[in-house]
Amino acid sequence: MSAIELDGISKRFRGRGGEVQALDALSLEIPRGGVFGLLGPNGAGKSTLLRIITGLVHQDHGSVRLLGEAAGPAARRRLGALIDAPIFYPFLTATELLTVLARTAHVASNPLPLLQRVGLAAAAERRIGGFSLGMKQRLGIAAALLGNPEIVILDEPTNGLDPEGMLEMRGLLRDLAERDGITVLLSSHLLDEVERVCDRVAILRRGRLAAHGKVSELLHSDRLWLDARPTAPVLARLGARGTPEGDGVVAQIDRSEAPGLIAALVADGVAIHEARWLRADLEEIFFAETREVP
Amino acid sequence: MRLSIRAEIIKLTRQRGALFWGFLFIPLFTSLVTLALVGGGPPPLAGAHAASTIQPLHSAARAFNVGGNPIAQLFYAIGAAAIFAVEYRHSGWRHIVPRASRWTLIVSKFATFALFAALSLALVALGDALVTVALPVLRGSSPAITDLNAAAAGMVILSFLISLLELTVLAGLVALVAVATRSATGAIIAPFLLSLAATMLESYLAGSGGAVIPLPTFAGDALRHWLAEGAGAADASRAGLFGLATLLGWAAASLGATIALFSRQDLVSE
Repeated sequence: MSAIELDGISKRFRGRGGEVQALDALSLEIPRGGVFGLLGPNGAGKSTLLRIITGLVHQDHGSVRLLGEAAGPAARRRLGALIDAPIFYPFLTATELLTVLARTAHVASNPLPLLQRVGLAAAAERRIGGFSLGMKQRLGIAAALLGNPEIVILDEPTNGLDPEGMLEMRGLLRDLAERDGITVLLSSHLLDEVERVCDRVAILRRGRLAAHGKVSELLHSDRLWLDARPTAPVLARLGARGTPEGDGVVAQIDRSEAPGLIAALVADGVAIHEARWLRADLEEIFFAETREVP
Repeated sequence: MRLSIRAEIIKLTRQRGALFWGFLFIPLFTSLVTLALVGGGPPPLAGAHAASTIQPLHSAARAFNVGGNPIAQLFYAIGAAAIFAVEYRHSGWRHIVPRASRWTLIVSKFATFALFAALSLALVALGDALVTVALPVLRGSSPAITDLNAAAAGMVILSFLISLLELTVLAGLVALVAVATRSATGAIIAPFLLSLAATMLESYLAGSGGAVIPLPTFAGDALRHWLAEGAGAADASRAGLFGLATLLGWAAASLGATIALFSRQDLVSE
């Protein structure tokens, strides 16, 4: 059973500037467990998608299922979310906020352990109006964890955090997935962060799914770099699949072919100084998938 | 629902300015005005039997007329806006909508307003009764209370309910405008202007043979008139019933329209 199933979600907004197709028949399955990253340039439909999953925005077409149930308030009690900027009632204390949210959601309220977990125990009785952006971000995470949810949706959770806070937050996200078994759906602009934290990603472009899969698979490459001398026999053997690059050759081959290729090159008298698989980075994939073709 | 109402109570009581101007100012102000009116009269002459009787329950019932007063409604609208527009002002919906049904959220807010409006009206009556009873005593007279009876108590209760119903209609309009405009200012001003316009219309139509217009201001006055005249007056009874139906209709329509609008509203950004 998937954590989140999206089937043919479409959403069109009508405004003064005309109509905008925010999501266009988007289907996606987010499996249970792990951290799932949602990527896309501005206007790709990430925020709209998160707001549809959380019931803040109604889709025009399609359906959302959470943990096998049709999405509704009852199913969403198994989900915690921090959507968009962490803005809260400034006149409440952190403890009061969590109490108010827990009561409204009809879930158990245990503010102090949650505040301890996000490093805000010392500010538990302080008014939120005096909190820094980073503190509000942490409070938002605590709010999302109310009621021991099985799915947590976080929109740009490291926004406003200093480098140390970002590291702590990434640790917390991994911890939620690995220790608590929570499915984390994370939207972020920070490709490096997604690459480090997420197990799977989906890339949105103009409201459609541009690419998705395991991060390890997306980053997986069939490009073997060979520091070989001389290069001519290598290029001759590879033909169109070989490209000179620097002092060596990049071979576009399947991983299973590598041992045979190296053995053949050695037999041909080529000296192999180094052979390594080139790893794609998420940024490369992101721009390849989202670049607009003129 | 009970938990949601308790959550709303926490939110409202922490907005101290809104709590004061929305629910405490009117009881305080009306008590001070009553004090000035009662206390401003001539003191009893020495040796004379002063002010022999007082009717605190009738006075308290009259004090409930505040529920239909446009200026008082402006202040109660501040209280209602603090309940309904706070989620737009501080982006609260994004935290509470995912895990709660939208109609429960709106009904909880209505219930919270009704609770605080009832407490405020109770304070209005209490302040009035205290001034009516205590002031003559403080001034050295000992008047007899002549309306400690079931009929007067019933009149107090009915006056209270009429006033509360008027304020519930007000809350419905504030909620509807707050959801439609996503703004507290519009939510306060629009119902006040409606109430003011209705009052002006009422003055304009005075003496025109009792035009029947289904507006909350007319309806509240018709109910109060029926209460003052008693059940025996057929015309007053008919107008009172029409007034009751009008107020109930406005309350139900505004609540229903608010729930319908909010249920369909896309919360792209609050």
